[in-house]
Amino acid sequence: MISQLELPKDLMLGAAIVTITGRKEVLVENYKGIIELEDSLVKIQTKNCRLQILGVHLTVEYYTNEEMKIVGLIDSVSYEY
Amino acid sequence: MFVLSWIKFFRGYVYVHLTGYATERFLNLCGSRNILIWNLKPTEDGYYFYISVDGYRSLKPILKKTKTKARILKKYGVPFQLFRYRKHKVFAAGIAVSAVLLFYCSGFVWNIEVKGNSYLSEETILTFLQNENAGFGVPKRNINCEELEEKLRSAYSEVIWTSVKVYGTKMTVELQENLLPEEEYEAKDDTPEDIVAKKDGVIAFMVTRTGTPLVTADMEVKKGDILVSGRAEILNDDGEVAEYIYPGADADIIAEVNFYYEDEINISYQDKIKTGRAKKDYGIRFFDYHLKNPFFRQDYEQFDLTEHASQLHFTDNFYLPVYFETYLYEECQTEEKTYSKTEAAAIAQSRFEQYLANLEEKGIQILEKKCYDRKSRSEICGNRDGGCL
Repeated sequence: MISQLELPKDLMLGAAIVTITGRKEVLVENYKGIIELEDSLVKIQTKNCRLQILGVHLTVEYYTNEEMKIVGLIDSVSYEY
Repeated sequence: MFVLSWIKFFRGYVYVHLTGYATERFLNLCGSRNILIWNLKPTEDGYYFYISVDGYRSLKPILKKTKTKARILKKYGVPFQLFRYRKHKVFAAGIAVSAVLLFYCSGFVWNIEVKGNSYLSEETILTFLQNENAGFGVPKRNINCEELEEKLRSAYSEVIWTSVKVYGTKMTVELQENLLPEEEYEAKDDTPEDIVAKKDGVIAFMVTRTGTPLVTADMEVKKGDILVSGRAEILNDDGEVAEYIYPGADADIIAEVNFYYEDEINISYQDKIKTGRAKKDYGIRFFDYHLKNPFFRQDYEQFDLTEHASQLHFTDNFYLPVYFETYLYEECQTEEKTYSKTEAAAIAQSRFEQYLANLEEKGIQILEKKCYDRKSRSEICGNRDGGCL
């Protein structure tokens, strides 16, 4: 239905958009909150699932209500319920 | 991004260490209340992050709610620096004075550029401007560009178009000169005149338009002889002069004339040789006041001094009366030398050639040249034949 109407999925489903640039930058849009923040682990709550980013020297370059940018050496990005 | 960091700097920001019970909740609350936090770094007992001063002030209820503590580690930005230097009044006064001085200096002309002049030298124009009280260092408000343009045109007849512009502290004077010789546009003199020989010679060719010819071709004439008289005779039926009219003389006359040219070249001369040793000195000039390096010493007996000054300017048009000067002292030695005969002859030849070129420029045709040179004083003489009006 949504794909037929060509509506933006992030708005309709509340889905998070994760943009990974290279190995050192992750931009998460449409997130709900921060669950855990450590040097080697970032856990982010989105509407439907949790996003887990593993890496080394992870820092949040900035975050606002809608988006957050994480920099550091990324090892993995995974989803969990 | 660069602009954003400047805004942050001007409004001030702090580096904070956050510790306590529910630090993640604190971060989420900040996010939801649109308090910007950047460079968030996790540590074992909390977080380090940067936050704006305004953001930090609105943190209080959040800190209370999440039972956390925020400690300022470092302060950045203009508001803190102003506070820190609040007792350095002289420093602030210095900034203010230099700003005022810069503003004051920007009201004067510190650089003049002259464009498009070929007959008139730049020096002439600059002197003229100085006399008109519109030269170097004159307040810009005293300069009336249109008036200057008019004055420049009326002062120099060869200038047919001018444009005076003042941009920043630089004045640009553009000229257009009349490239035709002055005779062409000067009104012709109508008073009757005779044509008189300028030099001794033999008339080769002659066409008279008005006036009475007194000489014919192949006649030898002396300097000062009247060639064509501006007076014409009107004869009556008996062949006697009835009346004189004065139409003026106009004729094309070509005569063969001898020019004598002599030149002397001194075969001994002084040659300057640079020894290769050189020293450089730097200085600053403000108006006419020179500030030189007091520690600079040079002990050359003879030297060439090259001075180079560059004017301080911020853009192409904003010049200030401050110059950076470089002095280059190059040691040199003079040596007595003599030209060899061939060298001297070559110099004489080139000078003679220059002389011939000058004559040819005047419309004189060279028919023949003869050269002699003497031994000790190399000398080349040219006998030349040509035409003159």
